Amino acid sequence: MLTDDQFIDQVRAELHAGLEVLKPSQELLEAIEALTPENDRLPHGSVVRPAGRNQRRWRGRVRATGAAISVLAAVIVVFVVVAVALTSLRQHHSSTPAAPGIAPNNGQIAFVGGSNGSVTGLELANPDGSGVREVGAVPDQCRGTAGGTGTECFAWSADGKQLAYLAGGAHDFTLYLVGASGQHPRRLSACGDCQGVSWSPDGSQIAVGRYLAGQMNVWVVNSTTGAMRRITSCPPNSLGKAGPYRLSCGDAGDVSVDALQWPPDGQRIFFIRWGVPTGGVEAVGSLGTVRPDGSDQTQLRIPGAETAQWSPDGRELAVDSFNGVYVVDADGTVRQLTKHQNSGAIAWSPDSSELAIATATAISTVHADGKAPTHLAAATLSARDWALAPAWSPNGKELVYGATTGRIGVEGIWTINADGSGRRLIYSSPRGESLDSGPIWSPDGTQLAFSSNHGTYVVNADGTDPHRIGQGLFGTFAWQPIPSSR
Amino acid sequence: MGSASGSGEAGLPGVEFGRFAARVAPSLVRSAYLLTGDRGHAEDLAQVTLWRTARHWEALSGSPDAYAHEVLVNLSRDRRRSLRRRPLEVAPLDHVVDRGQDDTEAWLERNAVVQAVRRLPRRQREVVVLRFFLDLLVAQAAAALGASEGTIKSYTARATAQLHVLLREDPSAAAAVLSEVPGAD
Repeated sequence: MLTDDQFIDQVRAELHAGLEVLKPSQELLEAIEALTPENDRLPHGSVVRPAGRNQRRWRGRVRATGAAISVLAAVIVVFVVVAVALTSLRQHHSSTPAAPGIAPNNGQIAFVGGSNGSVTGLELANPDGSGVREVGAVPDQCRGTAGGTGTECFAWSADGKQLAYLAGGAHDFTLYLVGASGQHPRRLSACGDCQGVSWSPDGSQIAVGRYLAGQMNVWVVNSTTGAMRRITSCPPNSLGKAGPYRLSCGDAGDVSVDALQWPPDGQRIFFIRWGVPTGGVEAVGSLGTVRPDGSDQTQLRIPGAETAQWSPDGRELAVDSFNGVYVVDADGTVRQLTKHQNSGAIAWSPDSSELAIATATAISTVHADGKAPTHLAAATLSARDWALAPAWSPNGKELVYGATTGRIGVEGIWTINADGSGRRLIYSSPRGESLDSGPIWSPDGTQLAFSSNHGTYVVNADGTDPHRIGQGLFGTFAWQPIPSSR
Repeated sequence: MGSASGSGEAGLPGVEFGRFAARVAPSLVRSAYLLTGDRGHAEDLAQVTLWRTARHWEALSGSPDAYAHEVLVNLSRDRRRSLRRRPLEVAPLDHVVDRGQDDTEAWLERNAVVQAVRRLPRRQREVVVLRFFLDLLVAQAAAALGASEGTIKSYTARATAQLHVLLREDPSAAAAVLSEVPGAD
């Protein structure tokens, strides 16, 4: 019989021997070579490879025939040269000291990234790329590696007057508030191991997920005093029967609370509690809602739930799961809206009447009452496409989404009318660029923002004037709301 | 390491970073695989880790390894969250399957100890990767995870116990380990 030390030695030896077969790919070695002074200078065309979702696509691309690559390369070289030239001009422009200020009509964009060689952190910029200034450092967890519209470490208040963000390190974060000027941040609360930032509609409170004393729960923070209050409790063994993992809300491992959302009516906070069930490997989500005062904590039993979104009127919660899209009414009634498998993203229309749904093969809309979906762009997408989350224009007449173009190594962003007409490619990525977060609309619907492995971009809704407002690998971002009353 | 002498022009990392990256790339990929369970993700995380390390190379006087380990763990946590918010990954139908890659993944999937580590809860898994695979001291693992040494010791003990259980439960566990697990039949 082995002692623990002997057992550990055996495990250690097995791990080293077992993983010996796993060697860095040629692609990774090439990427390392690219991290040289010469190659690192070019923002476009860099071989630094995107993370995550695009991995398999990227591998497929490099297996294209030499002839195709040659033809594409010629086109792309021209594009990259133009893009780099434009980018250089713009970077030169934004390197000119600009007085921090608020753009007159279209708000500010908060984003994570770097700019002009500055340290990566939370920054603010005007949509034209001017006035870039760093607000503060943000935790590594908030910088993102890929995917989603991950603004979980910072968020604008509904009136657009304040930006709340987490700063710090080593799971000891502080919650700060700063105005749209980006100057003079105010320390609000010592949050500790927090994640997610979601404002109440009236701006009086901020919901966060907080890991404390071995439990992850939803807390609310008074945005004036900074006082924190826990509003959820941990249901015992909510994710699986007691067993080796004993995962409920304890500290046994992979348990977190995120995807916090506060609906416009402020009545119920939605959250997802993640954990690895007994005997499982991958985390599964348990969907819950709770009132801001901590009462009426409920658990929604929807299999395979991945994410959810409140309707703008706050009356329904749409849940995207492996099995399709579900809608939960205010009384808790759950109904299945579609049976799409592997839905990618959902988005409510501004009037709460329709949902846009992105799958691996199509962009479609469906009425919240369950009428047959309207396919908007099925014909041009294929099984190798991953549509980025669709977003409705503020007036509800158009949608924007991202997907691969069908050409090797090229992704694009399209706008399309809500009835499926008027599809227009407004941005085509140069080779080596991989789209990531967004796209999202500006408050007035005239511009769009998105991010890629090369930085955060803004482009006019008609496709003109694409420009980068900040560098950064897979930066996340949030556009300042501009309420109509302003 | 990471001194100015190792820097390239314009303050960017130079040959010294290249040596560092070549040295740690295999262990970063393997560690990331244990943390994420996906070879593609592991490559991604290793690359982003090296990219960030390069960006901060000047400031990492003497401890780029420690910085890289901390970044890798943080990225793996971030990865789990971002994966939950975005479309599922679907292998393109027209991709040519690389035979060598298949063999590697099949090998990894058959390795009972590797799979047992992957089944550990996140915090235990992180501790195992840092202490058992990267061979970090308790203090080094504590620094990488932003935890106290006591916490690391606690998770190490729990992970060890958990591995005992998992390897005993798994009938395909490597015989060299299985036959010696205390209490195993």
